[in-house]
Amino acid sequence: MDVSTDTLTSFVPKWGSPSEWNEAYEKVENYLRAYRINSRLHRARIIHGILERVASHGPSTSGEVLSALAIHETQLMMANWFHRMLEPPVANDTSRTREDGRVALLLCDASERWPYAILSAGELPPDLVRAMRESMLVAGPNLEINSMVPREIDYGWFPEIAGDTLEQLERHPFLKAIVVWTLLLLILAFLFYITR
Amino acid sequence: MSETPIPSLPADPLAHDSGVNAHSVVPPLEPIVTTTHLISPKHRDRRRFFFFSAVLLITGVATAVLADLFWDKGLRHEEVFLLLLFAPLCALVALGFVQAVAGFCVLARGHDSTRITASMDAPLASSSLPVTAIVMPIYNENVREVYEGLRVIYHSLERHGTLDRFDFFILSDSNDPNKWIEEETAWVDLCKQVNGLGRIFYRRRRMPINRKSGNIADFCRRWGGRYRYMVVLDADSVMTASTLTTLVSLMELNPRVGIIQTAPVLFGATTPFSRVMQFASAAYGPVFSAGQHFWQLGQGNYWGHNAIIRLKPFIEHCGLPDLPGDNAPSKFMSHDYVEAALMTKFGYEAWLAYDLPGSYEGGPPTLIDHAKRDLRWCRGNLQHAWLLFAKGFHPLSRLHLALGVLSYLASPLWLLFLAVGTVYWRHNVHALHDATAPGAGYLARLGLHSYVPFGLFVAVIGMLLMPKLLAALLILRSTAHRQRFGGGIRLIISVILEQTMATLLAPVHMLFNTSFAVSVLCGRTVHWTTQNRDASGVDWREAMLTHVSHTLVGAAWGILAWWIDPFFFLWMTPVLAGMVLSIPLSILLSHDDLGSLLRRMRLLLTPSDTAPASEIVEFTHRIARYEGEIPPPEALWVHRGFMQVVLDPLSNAIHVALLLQRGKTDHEVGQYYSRLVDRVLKEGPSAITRREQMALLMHPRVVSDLHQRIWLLPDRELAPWWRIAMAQYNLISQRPVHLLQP
Repeated sequence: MDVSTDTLTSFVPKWGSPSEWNEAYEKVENYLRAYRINSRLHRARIIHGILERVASHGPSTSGEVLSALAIHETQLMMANWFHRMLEPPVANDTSRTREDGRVALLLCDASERWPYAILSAGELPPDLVRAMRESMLVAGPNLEINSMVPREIDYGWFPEIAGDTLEQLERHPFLKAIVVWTLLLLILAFLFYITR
Repeated sequence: MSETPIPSLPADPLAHDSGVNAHSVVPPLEPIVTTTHLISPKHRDRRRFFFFSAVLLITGVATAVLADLFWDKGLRHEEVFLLLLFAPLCALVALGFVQAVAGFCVLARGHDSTRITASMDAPLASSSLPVTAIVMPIYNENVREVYEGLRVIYHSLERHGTLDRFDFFILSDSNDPNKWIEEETAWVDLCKQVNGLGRIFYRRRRMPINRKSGNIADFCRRWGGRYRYMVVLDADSVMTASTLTTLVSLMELNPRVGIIQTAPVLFGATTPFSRVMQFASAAYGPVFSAGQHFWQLGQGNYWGHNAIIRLKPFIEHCGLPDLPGDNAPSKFMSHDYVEAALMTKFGYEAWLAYDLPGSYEGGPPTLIDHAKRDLRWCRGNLQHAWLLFAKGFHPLSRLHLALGVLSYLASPLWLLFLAVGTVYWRHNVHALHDATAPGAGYLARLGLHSYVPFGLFVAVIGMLLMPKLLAALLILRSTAHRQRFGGGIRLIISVILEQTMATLLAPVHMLFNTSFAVSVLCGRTVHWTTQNRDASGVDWREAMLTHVSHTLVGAAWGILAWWIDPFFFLWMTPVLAGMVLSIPLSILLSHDDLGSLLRRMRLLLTPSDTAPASEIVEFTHRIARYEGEIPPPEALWVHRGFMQVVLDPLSNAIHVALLLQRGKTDHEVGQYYSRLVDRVLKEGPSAITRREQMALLMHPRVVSDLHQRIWLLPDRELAPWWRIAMAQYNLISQRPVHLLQP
């Protein structure tokens, strides 16, 4: 990115209101912070470059707001940068490359280990390129499918009797209530009886 | 004791394993070095005969003495009822007592040739050990504690030089979006930090079918063929490398062994409640574990974690069926006992390696948390009643299952015993004092009638206290061991303190478990008040709502007891005090400050405090580093997982990559999802339910599109929540706040 000493005067947008450019600046900054690009200096440089490119394209003919154009431009830059970095075999699978690139970025800790390299237009550090290309997410080893099926247990006589009774009770709530009340009365009667 | 015949196993139990392919990490098998001949069948049967005879003798004598006390030309109905309640309760107490005495004798002798660890002189060379899977099923757990525990185990194996012999599997069933995303992020973090990609694996099931046992079964189906053994951990388990390699070596040397269960020791206690539990576990646990092993031997039990399992027979025989019943079939909630019973049924042994150190677990911090855990266990254990008469089970497996059922039925039985005893006192106690008439019991005729009730009481209390005294005696014998518990005097004070707490809390546990058992048997659900817990412990609202019934029962019972007889009230004081004081006790015992004070006073100290293993030191140190972190504002924190996966391009990509790795097709977004996405964007995550959030998070295209749209939409079209989230994200900490610290 070309940064001259007179950056204050080098980029003055010719269209859009200052508040729109502020919103765009803020949105891109938030977005880059979400990427964990924590170097403010580098972040400011990237934002400056992105906004300059948006300004050079002119206002959107489809009515997109400035902040959306800025984010769109950021994502495009990211996609190109990932493409350069990963050199995917299928050139047109952009969304997959973008996701692979992000995963690789996280896995190799690029934002911390190479804080000034992300989105850099210059020559890519070879160790960053290697680290990103080697980063691969493995959630599990190769499957070796086994059949673990429920084995029948012969529960014997108890569940036959108890299970049938319980099922009958479940099917007939009124009968269930009668049984519960009978048990309750029996307990009370028993307590009354034993305390005589 | 009769035993199910053990089918003869091939010398090499995996020789016919066609499921293990050439690329498997299970190495080619070598001839088995030894087998388990630690105790002859004759010796084993004799040991069990004497053990259970002692339990029966104590129960019989105590019940006979009580019957004699009641006797007056016969027994009244209420006396028969009391005796019927007393006998099984006394049997449980006697079992614990005899077990502890046996354990004491074994430990005091200092040599036990029947230990499973005695089958090995030293662990096998690491190169000869097969790669073993360490699996940790989790469900909405504290993510940092889970991953820091794994990190500690990983480091321990690394230092030990046996890391390449183990693979780690985090098996999640979490259904909380926050936990799910935290788990994924923490997994990536941990893998990066320890260079564990390709060794630490993460899987989250889409549907948590059959809970924990289903989660383990899912692992077995997918990867079980790659491994000969798996070590099952709980979310709060920590095990040392030496213990892990010893377990694998023991399994290699003993092909008939299907399960080796370690005896985990509690650690990391901060509240007074958990410190009491930790002290009891460290001080008395060894005596009870050695006693359990004394009679269980190769027909031991499995407690669901901190154990190693032989995978082939487990996969073959331990697929659990539905419980009996045609309507809405239900599953076993507590699978471990059943799995041990099935392994034993099919000829594999289950051993308790009671002498193997280096196995740890966390405990519930408060009385209320303990009760919540008990509720889960109660449901699971009572289900085991279905299996008591199942065909082909080993008698000891039936006993394990029966003891599990009884451990929760004992509470209602004790409550009933005390209630009927109260009524009995009201009507008949004077008859006991006049029991010198002809027709009275034998002891009364000997003139002992006034001493017998107290004697019986002392005997039962003695059986409850003696194991603790024996355990304390063992500790006091060794200077080094004594020092690890804070010294002799402090150990004795700690035992008294623990006993006081146990006495006060026992009636509360009894009431809790009674309500759980009754609710489970009636098919009702027990609801809890929402937890409102911070560093200062359980708040008054939670404690009052939970314990108000206990207080009322205690107060009413106290008034009744006083009305019946002030002397009876005195007898009942230890039981009633805990109930009446349950609210302040619950609050007091949940305060970290009081726990720290006890520790500073060197009371309730355990070896994990005074001489902790390096793994425990590392775990404690790492967890302490998270204290004082500033979380984002509450409004954002509530939906932190959803926020992170939508806003953060890196977390978003990881989440999508994991969904796609699971073979999920990146199919088109339907109308249902589109409507949900629109609502989320315009109204914020609170506008949809947790279930709807989960639905969105399970769809790779939706997750990807959400991320794109949230950044491309102008601020005015987004909910204010999102605008705040975008401005705040990574602002304070420069990284998502719930990541693992390097």
